Amino acid sequence: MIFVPRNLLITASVLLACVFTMGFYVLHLKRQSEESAARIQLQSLIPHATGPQEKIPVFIAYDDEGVIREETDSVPESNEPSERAREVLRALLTRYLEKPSPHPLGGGSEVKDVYIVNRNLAVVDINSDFANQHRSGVLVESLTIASMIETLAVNVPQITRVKFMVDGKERDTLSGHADLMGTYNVSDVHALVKAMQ
Amino acid sequence: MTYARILTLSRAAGALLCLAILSGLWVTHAQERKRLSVYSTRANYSVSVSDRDEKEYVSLAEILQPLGGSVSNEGGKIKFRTGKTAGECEEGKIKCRIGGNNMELSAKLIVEDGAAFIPLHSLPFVLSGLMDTRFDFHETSRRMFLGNYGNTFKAEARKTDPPSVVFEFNAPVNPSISTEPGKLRMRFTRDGINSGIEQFKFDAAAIPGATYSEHNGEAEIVISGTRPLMAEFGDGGKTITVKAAPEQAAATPPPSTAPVEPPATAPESNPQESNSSSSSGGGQPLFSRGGRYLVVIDASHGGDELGATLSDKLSEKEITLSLARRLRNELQARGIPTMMVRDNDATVPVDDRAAAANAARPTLYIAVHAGSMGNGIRVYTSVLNGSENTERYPGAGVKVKAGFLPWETAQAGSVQNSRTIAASLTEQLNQAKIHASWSPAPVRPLNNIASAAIALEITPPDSKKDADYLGNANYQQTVAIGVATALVNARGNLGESR
Repeated sequence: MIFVPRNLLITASVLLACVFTMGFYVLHLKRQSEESAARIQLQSLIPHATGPQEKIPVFIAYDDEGVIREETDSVPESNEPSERAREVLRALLTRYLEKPSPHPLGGGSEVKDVYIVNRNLAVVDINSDFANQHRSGVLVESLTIASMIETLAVNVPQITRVKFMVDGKERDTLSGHADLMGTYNVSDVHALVKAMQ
Repeated sequence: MTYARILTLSRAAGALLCLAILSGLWVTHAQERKRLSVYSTRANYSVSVSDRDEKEYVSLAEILQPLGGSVSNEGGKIKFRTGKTAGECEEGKIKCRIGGNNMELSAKLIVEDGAAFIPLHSLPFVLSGLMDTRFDFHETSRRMFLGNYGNTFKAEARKTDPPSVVFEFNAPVNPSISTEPGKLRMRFTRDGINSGIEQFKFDAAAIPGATYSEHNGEAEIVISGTRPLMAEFGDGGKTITVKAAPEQAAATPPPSTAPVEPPATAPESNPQESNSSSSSGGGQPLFSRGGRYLVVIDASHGGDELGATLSDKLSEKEITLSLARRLRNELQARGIPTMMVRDNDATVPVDDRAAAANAARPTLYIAVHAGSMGNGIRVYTSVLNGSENTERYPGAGVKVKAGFLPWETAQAGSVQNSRTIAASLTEQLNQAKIHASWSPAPVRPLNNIASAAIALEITPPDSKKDADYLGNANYQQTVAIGVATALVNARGNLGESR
């Protein structure tokens, strides 16, 4: 039988208590951090702009025929490129989230924000619901990407390149097929949309 | 405290330390997944090996399917077949009947979730009962060579400046290469290289020697150098030249670990290729790169990545692998060498797929997809317009600074070739009454492929058939034959037109 001195037993007990206390504290910190991240995520969805409306062209994907058609929609007037880009894409997504939809997206799909970098690069930040619930397939994902980029580029002409992020992070593909790592040249996508019309 | 107590405490501490070391070793060992690699003229592939009852087991289906075999479970009776020879074993038993002969496994056959597992030790005996071929089984390193397959090589020092050693293989190889101070490692996962020599000595002071070893389904060649080493592929992947850095460059200490740049490199070993590809982006000869014709087939998705859910029972990854295997067989039957990026249900990151394809330097890369929208076969090419690298490095054409292509636009120099092939393939398929169309699409990893590259999306043949029909073996075979025939015909037409 091993005899353990009393002072060692007390030290070991205190250390064990410290370990458990630290464990609970770390769990508490983790929970706080997750709640805070969730709050930030909710806050980062910038509210829709309001004011007088203007008519804009939008490029709507039709799954049944695998085509993209130019139609019109309305968005609040704005001279600020980033705000305009955001509203234009939200108008497009509203069409896709209607029922029936020509190109259904998952519930909760949202464009969180659009950042204009160096005057001509648009960084489109979509939420994780958009990507996680998107249907998987080369054609269906290509229609989403092409209709978003064409709609963006036609309504904010200074944009020549587009990059997608999901919740502010890079992601390989939209749903297993369409490239989200690269930066799209608007002219390349324009050729693609022409082929899809 | 008495001496006895101190001794007792020391022993306890020692035991705890030993336990911690053993746990560490166990965790390290457990992290490495055991694999068996099989090399044959039909397919090179790896399957996972699992420990059951302290013995190593492999899935019978994973072994036989790439060899054209099949396995079925009929109420605990496991029936399997390759070609005309059939075998039968029973769950929990060691006795089997294969090709009309009785044999005993080294341990009982196990069935889990409907899948049959046999002891690894008995695998050569099972296969020799099924196939009339010779086997070379390296059991400790878990590498198996079927038939006369075995890519041997020789290594020879060349008195060049800087000094170099050339490894010449019988067939093209595609190792992953990494460097560290004083060493260059080449790991061969899919290539069935085989050597009876473990130590190589070279008559070159800068590259004194190399070692060959095998472990866990892989082979490895480690080259030692007194200066930093670099590797260069040649002869269509059949030679690898390891060069020592020039003495001036070697004076600069190398980084501690320097992985080789992602292999989207422009080929430098063949000046003719470099010159031809530096013009308009469409310069490299179609289907005859360096006199070698290789099609890399990439069965998209796999493992944890299911791809599209085609129906309640069918995911895209199953269809892509099945179609890719059929396409490989049909192309090989027409004399076209192929390489599969994945030949089992493994998760392969999309960048790794592109890296593997680029390292093989194929004539054509084909990504196989399946979908439920629309009908027939859709052929896709990259959305790049071909001028990306020129814009990024003005005046350099597609041959960019330092011989490297930007990863995001590696396809730019080949996109015209890809379009020509896609158009020709589509035309040929339509002539064969298989509905096909082509367009650009932003599909990964087409932009990262440094050779002609297309993606195929196979959908049901007409609107009357639903996505379940994609699993129909006859339809898959029709598609595979159609695509293989169209590629062969397209090769002829393109060759004549150039």
